[in-house]
Amino acid sequence: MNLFLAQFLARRSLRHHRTVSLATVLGVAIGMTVVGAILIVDHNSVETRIEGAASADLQNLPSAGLHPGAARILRVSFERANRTAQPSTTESTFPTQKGLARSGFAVGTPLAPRGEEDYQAMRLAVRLASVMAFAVGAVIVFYTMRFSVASRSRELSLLLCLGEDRRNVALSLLVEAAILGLVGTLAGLLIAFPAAAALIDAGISTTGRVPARTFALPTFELAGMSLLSLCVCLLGAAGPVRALYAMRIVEVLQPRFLAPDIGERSLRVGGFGWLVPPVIAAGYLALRPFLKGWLSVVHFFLLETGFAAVLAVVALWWMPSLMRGVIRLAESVLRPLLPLETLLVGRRLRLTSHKLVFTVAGVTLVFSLLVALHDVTRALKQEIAVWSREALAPYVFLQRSPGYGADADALRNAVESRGLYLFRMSQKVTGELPFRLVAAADVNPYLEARERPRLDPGRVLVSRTLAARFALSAGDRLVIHTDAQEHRFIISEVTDDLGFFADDGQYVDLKSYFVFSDRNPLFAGPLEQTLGDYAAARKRGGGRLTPGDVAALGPTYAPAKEGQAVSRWQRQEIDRDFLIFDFILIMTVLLAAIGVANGVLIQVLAREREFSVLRTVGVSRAQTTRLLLVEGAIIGIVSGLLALALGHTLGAISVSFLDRFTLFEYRLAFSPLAGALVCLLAVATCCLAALYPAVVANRISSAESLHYE
Amino acid sequence: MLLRIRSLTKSYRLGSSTVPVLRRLSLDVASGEMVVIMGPSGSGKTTLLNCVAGIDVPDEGEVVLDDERVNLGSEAARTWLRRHRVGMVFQFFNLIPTLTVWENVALPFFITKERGRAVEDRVEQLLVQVGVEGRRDHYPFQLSGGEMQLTSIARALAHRPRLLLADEPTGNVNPRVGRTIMEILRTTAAREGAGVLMVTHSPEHAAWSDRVCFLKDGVIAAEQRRSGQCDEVASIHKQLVELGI
Repeated sequence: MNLFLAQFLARRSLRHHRTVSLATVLGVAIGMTVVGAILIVDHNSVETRIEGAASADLQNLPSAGLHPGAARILRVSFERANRTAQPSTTESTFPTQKGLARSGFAVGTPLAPRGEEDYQAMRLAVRLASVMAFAVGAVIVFYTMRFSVASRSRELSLLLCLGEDRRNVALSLLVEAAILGLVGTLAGLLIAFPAAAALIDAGISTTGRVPARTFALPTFELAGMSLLSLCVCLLGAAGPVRALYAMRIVEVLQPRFLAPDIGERSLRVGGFGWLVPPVIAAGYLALRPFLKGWLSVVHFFLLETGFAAVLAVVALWWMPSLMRGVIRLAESVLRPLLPLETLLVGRRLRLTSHKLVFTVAGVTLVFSLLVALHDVTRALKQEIAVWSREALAPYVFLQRSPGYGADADALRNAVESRGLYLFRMSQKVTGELPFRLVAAADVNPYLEARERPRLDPGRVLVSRTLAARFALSAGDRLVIHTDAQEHRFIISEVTDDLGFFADDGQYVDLKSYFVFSDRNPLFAGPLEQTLGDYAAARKRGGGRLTPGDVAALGPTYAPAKEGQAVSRWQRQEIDRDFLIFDFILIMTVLLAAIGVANGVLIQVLAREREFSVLRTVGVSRAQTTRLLLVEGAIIGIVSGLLALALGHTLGAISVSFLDRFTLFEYRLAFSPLAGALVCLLAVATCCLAALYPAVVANRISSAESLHYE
Repeated sequence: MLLRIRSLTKSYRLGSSTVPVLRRLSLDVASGEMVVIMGPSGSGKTTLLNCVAGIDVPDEGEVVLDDERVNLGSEAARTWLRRHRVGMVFQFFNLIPTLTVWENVALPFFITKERGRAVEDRVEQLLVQVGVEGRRDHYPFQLSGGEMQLTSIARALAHRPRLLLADEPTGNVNPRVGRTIMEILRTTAAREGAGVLMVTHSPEHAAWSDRVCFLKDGVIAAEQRRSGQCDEVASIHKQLVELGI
């Protein structure tokens, strides 16, 4: 084996195809940067506990507000109004939060920290998203290796003609891939360190928690990913090496004009082939409800994701046919405007659609990730929006001014004259049984006006989040077992519009509470004495409170927080938590652009002669540029449409998983505007990526390309 | 005079040295005239055609076509020249592989956005004229070398160019097709009043011309006027030997 010649040929080839080599290195480097940076950020996020996450134990309840003479609470249990009802969530072998401790829980065996699963779900999503970026990089490497070698088939055949051993030529390809992989991986690692440092400095983590201030490196994981990156590059050369062994020198060396390198390939779905995927999909949809019942939440999520991946692979098989369809459509639209460009590009793309599968797959992967993440963030924001419409937006949250006792008459007059509801509340007891008291005299008029059940002693309201945690519904009973007796409370309603006060703390904790009325014997004591320390005011007829309304409640109450402002802050927090996805997405869109530029560039280089002929028969530089822009646009349109289908599928699966896995209610909502924007972004990215190849195409020397074979 | 070339100079840089290819070359071609350029490899034949077609830019000199000086420095002017005034035929055919024979021939009209019955008739007429009408819906890779070259000639003639430039059009075809090509070039020049400037290494094909110019070291070293003696090649051979070509 002639290693010297192999590395000489590899280096010479890399130097000769500088731009294509650079694109490959960039593909590897950016993929590695994303994964490396995420691994480092994750390593520095995972151990950090959020401030205030620790909560008071239920055993501390007496000191928190129970009657001094009350016995200690030992256990909390639930009695179901309808015992035959199926649980809303299948028991999972993996921890989920919904329906956890359905029958109750014993004090002293505290549950897992609230919200921990949400953070782990986000971590998982971040890591998966970064792997997607890595996969796009890998697609670029595979594509480049395959086509750069295909474009050099004549050169490689000549080497074989001159007596070079196939093994040695293959070795040169592997050396080339190894050099590209090594340079790309090292560059990616080097960029990953400052990128991770910048992310951590900006307060971004993979869990939404504040990252650690130390900068620790996950050495083992980074080394593993670097090795994997190198392996991907070497694997990228595997296909070309196999093709090299199968190469028939006589065929490759015949005059180029006789080689049929175009033509509609047999890679198309014909006849009943089209029926297979719909039949599989229909079969799956028929089985889905049963699978959903049998499998755990996580298993079901994995099954659905796997099914979506299979559909995506089927879409790859369909892609050439699909592309031909879209191209025909685009042709009919563009023909009146750009007849020449439509003819040339349309024909070229249709006849070589099988060559564009990798490019389209890469772009589709990126933009489907974008669509899926948009669906998830939209569902998260929607959840906050729905909740804040009930619990935040109508309210101004007030605190009793220090030194002022409640002047009941003056307050009542102000409330009446201003047309307000004022709900006086106690302090909140935190822990596994979070609750607060609310003055029955304040809430019952509000409830009666809406023909809802009253809140009297022996009854309790429960927030949606806590109801989801314990799978509770109206009519169920909450039983608090003390060492003296059992206290039963009927759950009169599951609602978010009463009992919330905008404290600082973790989102899931803030939204989890029971609301008892005053005058319950169990709570008569220090807790009831705090009734009125906090209050929430809202307009009787709806709308926002004016500054005059708030002033009228003074000097007894001073405004603490305005509901709308809290709502806005919550959304900003979600945006901040998702900044890390923005980082991944920007990098993957960049990768997609490099992939498309590289793909189009390789095509341009392979079609030098064609462009030269066009120039010779009078096609101008502007028309050449337009040709490639139209080509980029068509790749963008096909990729955008496929990305919408695949992305929404992934988004629907993820949202459904989050809805069942976490305590919050997530609903998938499609946005036609966002869909159109994603398609536009895909088209714009592909058009931009086609600009450089257009410059190269315009630089091609017609004189040289046309006169030599 | 259809084409007037005056003092055309072109050199290429090869590393630090400069290689002169054309040295103040001058040449005229009249309407309907067929001029053949012969010369050894590297004598500047193809460069001359490239400069006239505007796919290469000379260092000095001027090209006047139909009494209009071609602005060789302007990309737009050169594009216009190729679009409307000049047709090119290459040794390696250079058809667009994704277009059918009919579309390849109609390509100049697609570029100039000309449509309609007249265009279709013109394309059909050319296909019949060159004898590939039976292959109108075939792609280039489905044709023989000769058929590809005939298609390429039809494309070069489609927009009725004033000047047809042919760079070894018979270099890759069999003798029978070679004769057909020469007949087409000859009759086209005569019928449409277009000039033909052709490069060839074959004295047999050069014999079809009105004039043979022998290019050596970037200049026209000798010229031979012909008077339609297609079978008389001895004088051309003799001239080639004399010039050491």
